[in-house]
Amino acid sequence: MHPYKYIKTNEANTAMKAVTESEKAVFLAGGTNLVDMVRRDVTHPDLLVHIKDLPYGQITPDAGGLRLGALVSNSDTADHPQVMKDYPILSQAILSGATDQLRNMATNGGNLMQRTRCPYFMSPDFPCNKRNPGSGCSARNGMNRIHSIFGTSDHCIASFPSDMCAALAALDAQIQVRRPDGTARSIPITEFHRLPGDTPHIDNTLEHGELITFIDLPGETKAYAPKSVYLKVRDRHSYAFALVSVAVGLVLEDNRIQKVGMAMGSVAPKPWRATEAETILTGKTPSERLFKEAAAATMASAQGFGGNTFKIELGKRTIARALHMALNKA
Amino acid sequence: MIGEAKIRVDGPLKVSGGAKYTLEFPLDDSLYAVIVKSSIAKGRITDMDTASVEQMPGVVKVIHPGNALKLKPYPTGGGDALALAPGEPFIPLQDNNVYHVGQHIAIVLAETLEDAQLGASQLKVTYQQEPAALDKEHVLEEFFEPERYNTGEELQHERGDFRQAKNNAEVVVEEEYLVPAENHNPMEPAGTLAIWQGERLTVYDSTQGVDNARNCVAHCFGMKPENVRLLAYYIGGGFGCKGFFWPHTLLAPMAAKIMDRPVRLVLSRKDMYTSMGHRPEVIQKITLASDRNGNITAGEHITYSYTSILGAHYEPCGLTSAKLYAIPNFSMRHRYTQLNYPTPTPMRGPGESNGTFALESALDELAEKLGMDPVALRIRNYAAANPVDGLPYSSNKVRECYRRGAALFGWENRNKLPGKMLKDGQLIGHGMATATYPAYRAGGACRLTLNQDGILTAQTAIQDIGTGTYTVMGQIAADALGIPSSQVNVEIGDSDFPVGPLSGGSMVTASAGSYIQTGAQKLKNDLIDRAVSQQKSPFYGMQKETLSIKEGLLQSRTGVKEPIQNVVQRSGKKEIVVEDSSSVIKGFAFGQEAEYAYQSFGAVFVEVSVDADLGVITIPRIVAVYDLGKIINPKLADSQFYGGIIFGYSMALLEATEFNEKGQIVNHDLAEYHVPVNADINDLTVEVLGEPDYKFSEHGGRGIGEIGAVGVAGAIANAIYNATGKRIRQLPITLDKLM
Repeated sequence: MHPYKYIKTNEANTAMKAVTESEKAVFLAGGTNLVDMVRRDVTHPDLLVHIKDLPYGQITPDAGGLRLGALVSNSDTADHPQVMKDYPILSQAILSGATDQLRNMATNGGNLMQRTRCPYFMSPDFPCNKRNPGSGCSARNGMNRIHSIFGTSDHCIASFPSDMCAALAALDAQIQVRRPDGTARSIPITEFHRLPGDTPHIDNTLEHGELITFIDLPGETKAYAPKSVYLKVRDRHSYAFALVSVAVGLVLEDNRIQKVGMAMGSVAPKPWRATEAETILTGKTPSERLFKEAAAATMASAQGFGGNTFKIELGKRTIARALHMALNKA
Repeated sequence: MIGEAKIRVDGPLKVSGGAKYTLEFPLDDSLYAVIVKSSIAKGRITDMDTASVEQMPGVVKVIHPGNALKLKPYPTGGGDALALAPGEPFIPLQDNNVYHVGQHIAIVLAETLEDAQLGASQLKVTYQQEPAALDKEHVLEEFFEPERYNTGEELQHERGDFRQAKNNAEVVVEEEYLVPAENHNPMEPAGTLAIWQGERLTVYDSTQGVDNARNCVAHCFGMKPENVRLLAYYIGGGFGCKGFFWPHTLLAPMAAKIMDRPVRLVLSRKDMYTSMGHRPEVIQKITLASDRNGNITAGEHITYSYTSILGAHYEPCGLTSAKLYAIPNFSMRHRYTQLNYPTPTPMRGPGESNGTFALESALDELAEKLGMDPVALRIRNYAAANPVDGLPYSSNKVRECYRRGAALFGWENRNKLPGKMLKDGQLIGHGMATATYPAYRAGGACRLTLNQDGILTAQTAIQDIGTGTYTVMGQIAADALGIPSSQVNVEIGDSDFPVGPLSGGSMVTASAGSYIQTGAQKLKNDLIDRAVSQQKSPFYGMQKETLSIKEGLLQSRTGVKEPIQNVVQRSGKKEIVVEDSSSVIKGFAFGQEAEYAYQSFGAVFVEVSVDADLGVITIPRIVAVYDLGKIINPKLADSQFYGGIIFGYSMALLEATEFNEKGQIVNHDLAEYHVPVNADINDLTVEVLGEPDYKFSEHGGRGIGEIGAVGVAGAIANAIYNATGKRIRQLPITLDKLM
């Protein structure tokens, strides 16, 4: 472990100023991923700015939707009555990940910022373009069971493992960001993370020093609540990242799918919005056949790398099952 | 008392943090040691930039082949070699050769753990690399066939005429099975503390064998064993990886000697994957041939695996197959090659858990071909005597295990056609397998001391690896002496005590329990002798036969009673000390003649539930019935069975150590190397027949640790076949294999 400095502040401007002063400075919130990476010699920050006391620890109604503070714990978000009632897949998604202890520490902003669990990234023993640009990708021809089947590049096939973000993508969440110059901006969840291309070391569109303050859930996607599901398929029954996960919400009118939001987790370097499926489903009468057609359309562009090729077929089946479950939800 | 479901005596200490594990002992002025490991699989170290690491803040020294102490090599063959059990007879830092990724090549010593870790990560090592032997399938073409396993059992065995019997058979199953490499992953990573005081050395070490570890340290440092004291009061699991002696336990004392300061050497989780053995990958070819009625006439089990360049562990998968069923014509071969991997070592049920996955899967395939019930097929081929040497089993109640297990499970409701049982949209499957493990009993000795307060202290150099040894030994001693177990104080985990066996091979309760039991009986006789001959004793002049000890009271048939400590008080001594010992049981050593074959048995029944689309496997329930003699403590026994069964579940569905083409382990942590979590495990039902085996041990008990892990993987694979019609012959059975 490399030595680093640590400061704690309850003032956002102070935190941002401290981070902008060094290229290697990072914000520390729950630390459930960052501390592991520091201890395992994956990342070498020179300054940790602890922001847990910043004033983003509330969940409040907002413009017909819900505003989640970036520093609310994953547990408190999952257990929040309004989240459970209006956005149940967000609650399900969070509770399907990690453990109670980790969810108690982990924050909503931190969940967005978590990094891939690609074993080659997580160990300095191996070449990895994401950890050490230019060193090569060990996963392409290596152990890639948990890796991406969408959005990969020659340089990186790592997957983004968040359950929560898959649900946020299905729910059209907006990420609110405060900038060091005092201004603010808003990023749709599907544009927050980026594809690796030839710069796989850059996970997302946040600029250095920018701070996530809130995650906004729009009022419109409350309509999914009665017919929505988060389905996670994994190698053991708890405490495992997804192989494939699907977050889906349907709005039905006169036995037609009027609106659908669907996103997949752990299949891409970002939460993967299933736009092809959404297009096929919208306006149609739900049927198992339609669900399979939608699933096939979404998976058509998937590409496997040996160890993860089964995820293409598994993805199809998981989408069809999730749609079936959402439709038949009592 | 024997048979009492007593809670473990160390439980309160463990849950309150009062039980100190190896690395928790405070040391004055100690240095932290972190090991630098080779990054290549084969070659020579040509340079190490130790100077720049030694300049780093907090770093005190780098020990490397150029400045390390020269230690005494292990003897090869014969007398001394048999007395020492290293996991590999290798001493690091003696030269510049590299034999596998993860080999210990230097030690960084610093004032803090973090400084030592940083130093170790920054040490630049230059190698002259050589092509490494890493092809695990090479053994299929080129191999050697060693004569014996480390227990003395023969690894190559032929009886009858396998070929001819196979050719004459009516039904033949011939298949290949693969079980990948696995790592033990005990909760407590190992570590070593070393403190020199003049010529005396104290070592705290997380080991399953304090006596063996002390002997190995003493040998390599050229010391008298009595000048080395090795301590392991509590051990957070081992499963075999702490069984034999591993090189890091030499490095802490070496560093402490060089620096003239105590040293605290910590292995990381990652270090654990390459420093203390693993279960090697095994390819198994099995042939079973029978007549139409299911009488198996011919069997063959060929095990293909590897050992390292440095060690000689031979994963013995076929031993069980050769003896479990009465197959007249049998061929057992064990074939290995040497590869540049870290040294393999026994892991819970070594050979039995992976070997019976193959054997019991093949039996299920045979039952399917015969259209016969799998339980009936096994009963038909019951072996009353060990077919390998013809010795009768001291007791073999496996048929009772099948019948009781089948009844408890509801086996008669099984549909033998695959894919026919459905529940809530899920495919249901029922499968079963035989569990078995040898009963081993080693020699050892104890010292029993009764003081003037009536407290008995039992000392022997065994260790409690988390199984409840402290509790069980106390129960045995209390029972044999006739005092409440609250009056017994068990002291173990210290090599200064009389010699005791390794916690391995499920043998500590039978081994140490036997000599503690006879020792306590000896003490009881001693007390009675004294009571009738002490002039001031109320029992003076009575017939010895008329006296007994119950609940701590010495009593005569005539109704005279007094606490046993009165005998000690009248003796004019502070305490009465008795020593006793026992030797290894006949048959469990090279070339000894035996009267019986000692083996434990069981039957495992599994229900699986499979999502036909997604392949997700759930195991709603497992029922297991065992025949392993008398149970000393049913509560602790159940914990062992549950742990073993979960271990087997893990082998079946989760575990695999993934080596890459360079010989590196990719999934060297508990994030990517999966072991079961609570959500995986549902209903476990365990029953024990409980009939004592006095031919084997004083108390009639055999061992428990390993057998729970045996048979489970086979039973799960068979249940998955029954559910899905898919026969998976390669573990772990992950969901993609069922899609």
